[in-house]
Amino acid sequence: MRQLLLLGNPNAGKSTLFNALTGGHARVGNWHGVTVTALEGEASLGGRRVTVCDLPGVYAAEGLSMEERAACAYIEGHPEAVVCLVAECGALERALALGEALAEGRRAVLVLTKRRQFERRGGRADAGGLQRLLGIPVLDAEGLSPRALKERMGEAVGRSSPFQAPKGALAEAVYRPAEARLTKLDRVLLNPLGAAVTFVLLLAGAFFLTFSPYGIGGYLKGLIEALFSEELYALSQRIPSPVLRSFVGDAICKSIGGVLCFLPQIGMLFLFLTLLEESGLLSRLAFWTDGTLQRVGLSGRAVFSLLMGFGCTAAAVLSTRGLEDRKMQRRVILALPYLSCSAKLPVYLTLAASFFENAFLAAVLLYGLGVGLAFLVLVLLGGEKPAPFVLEFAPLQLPDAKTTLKALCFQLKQFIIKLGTVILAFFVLSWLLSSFDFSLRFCSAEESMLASLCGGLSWLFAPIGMGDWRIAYAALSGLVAKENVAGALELFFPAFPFGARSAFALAVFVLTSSPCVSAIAASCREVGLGRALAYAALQTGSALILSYFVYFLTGEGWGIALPLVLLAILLLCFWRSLRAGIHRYRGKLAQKFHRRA
Amino acid sequence: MRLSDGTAGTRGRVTALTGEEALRSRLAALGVRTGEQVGLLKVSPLKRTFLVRTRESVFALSREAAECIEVEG
Repeated sequence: MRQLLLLGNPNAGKSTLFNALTGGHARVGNWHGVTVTALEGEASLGGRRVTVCDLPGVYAAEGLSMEERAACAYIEGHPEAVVCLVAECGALERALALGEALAEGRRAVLVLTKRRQFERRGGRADAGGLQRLLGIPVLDAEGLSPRALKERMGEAVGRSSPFQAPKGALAEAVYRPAEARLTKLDRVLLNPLGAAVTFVLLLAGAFFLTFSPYGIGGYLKGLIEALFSEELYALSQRIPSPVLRSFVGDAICKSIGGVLCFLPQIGMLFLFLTLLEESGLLSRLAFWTDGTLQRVGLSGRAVFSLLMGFGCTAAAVLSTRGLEDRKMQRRVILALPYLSCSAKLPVYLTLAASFFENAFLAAVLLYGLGVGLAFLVLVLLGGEKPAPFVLEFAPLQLPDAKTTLKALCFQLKQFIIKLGTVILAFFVLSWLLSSFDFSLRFCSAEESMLASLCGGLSWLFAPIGMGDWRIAYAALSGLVAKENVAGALELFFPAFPFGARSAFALAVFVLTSSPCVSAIAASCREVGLGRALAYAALQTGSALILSYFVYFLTGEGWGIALPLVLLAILLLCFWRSLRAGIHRYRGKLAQKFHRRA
Repeated sequence: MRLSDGTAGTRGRVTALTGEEALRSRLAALGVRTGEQVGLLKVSPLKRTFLVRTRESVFALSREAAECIEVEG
């Protein structure tokens, strides 16, 4: 079956074309050697079945990002496929340069997109002239219905012929470029105050709608929770056998409900961020944040993932795939858990009541602490300089509804498939451990295997004044989902008996410990199982130590600890110069040995 | 003069591109080629990020990338 490869610069409109040709029924492909999302679908073009492959946007043959390199390798690996060069009218010369680098001599067609915008800016392009010049069929995609598009594409692919790159610049008669201009909204966004206000409002609005109980996300979550925890659960209580009743009720209903009730919020998070990206606003945000992020060894592109980290760590980890290089990706994944995900908020609010009059303020304090820690981790890990940051400002436009919806459904499906099974497995496992004792007899939570395990671990939290197995149980349940910590605490301690210091130390522990299983599973997909587990262990271990330290600090520790903390801060300020000094010293040593040898 | 030494409103013709192969081809794809006109639209307050315009497109550059572009005029 014939294969059609959609190749072009980012923002050229490949995805729109892909959706139009295949009807949006895409299958995710894994490319040999690199797991990068590729879309493959089938289309019926001019009566023939064709496999259409949507490659990620490429700027140049030697790409900067992992996705671009994979796209180039794919093209070289399929010499018999027809290349469909997708070019935005405004960026035709660029697309032709790409074609010259990757498709010279290959059977190809050229599809022009966004002609209206181009002509409005004073540009002119002659499709017929281009056809003669390049030797391949040239097609205008704008304004065509999907059926007409498929017909014309089928016909063009049939006529496809070897691509001849133009020698030198394009003649004025064939192509007159438009002027790249910025819109009025951009003038606001390029002003620091205007940008700050706009983005803070946008992000606050998005987070409110998604996570506040008064927003849509919170409302939908409540609905699903009610459905599973109440309706279906009540139904399950009718089952006579106690084991089966508990299994269906606690393991199945509660766990599936627990997973599904997140979907509206995660979906909304993905939606807002997709809108940010599709509209072009994200590049403006990246422009402003790039300076700050460079200080911690990241680039403006990472702002996307970092923002998502406040919503859901797992989703944020999945979104790091688009980053420029692996090392930066790993650093971001390691630092993401410190940006408290939304599930930690109930825990903070529950504990905060014990050590702060204003629970909300305490939560904000903890969030701030988390951000500080994240930056700290990034600075400490900051290795070589990241690749130079280059990000195009696509013209600001209203996102296309269909493309956005398709992207959203695709990401949701990915999330469910990749993580849903893991989460479910863990829920069932934790049900097993908390409903049976070691002789596999069905029993209550206090006598279960999990309780015994936690009893063994209760010494872990003794240094912070809470050597109770139930605290260890609550903390461990956070591994499955962070809200469980709040749930377990409410279950076992209707009134929190331990003092303010312990509450604060526990809050710090939750803040800094490893994220939940779904985030670990997502990390596993991105950096491999070994690394993901190592990160989790490292984070949990350091979380324990940090919580001990905080407990110590808030107690008698001030006199001894404060100078130590100040010393540590001083060291960090000069960390960079310290490292440089160490490197220089090592360099001198190496030189010495060279001479001797 | 390097582009990173300019201020908002600086315009000029590209005379040279230094830096790595990957960066140069990325910049070339965006319209930064020797002989082409480039302009600096905006410089971030800490002079770490630059907004550049070529005939074909508008894009943001980090300081390291902007240091690789030599302009005159």
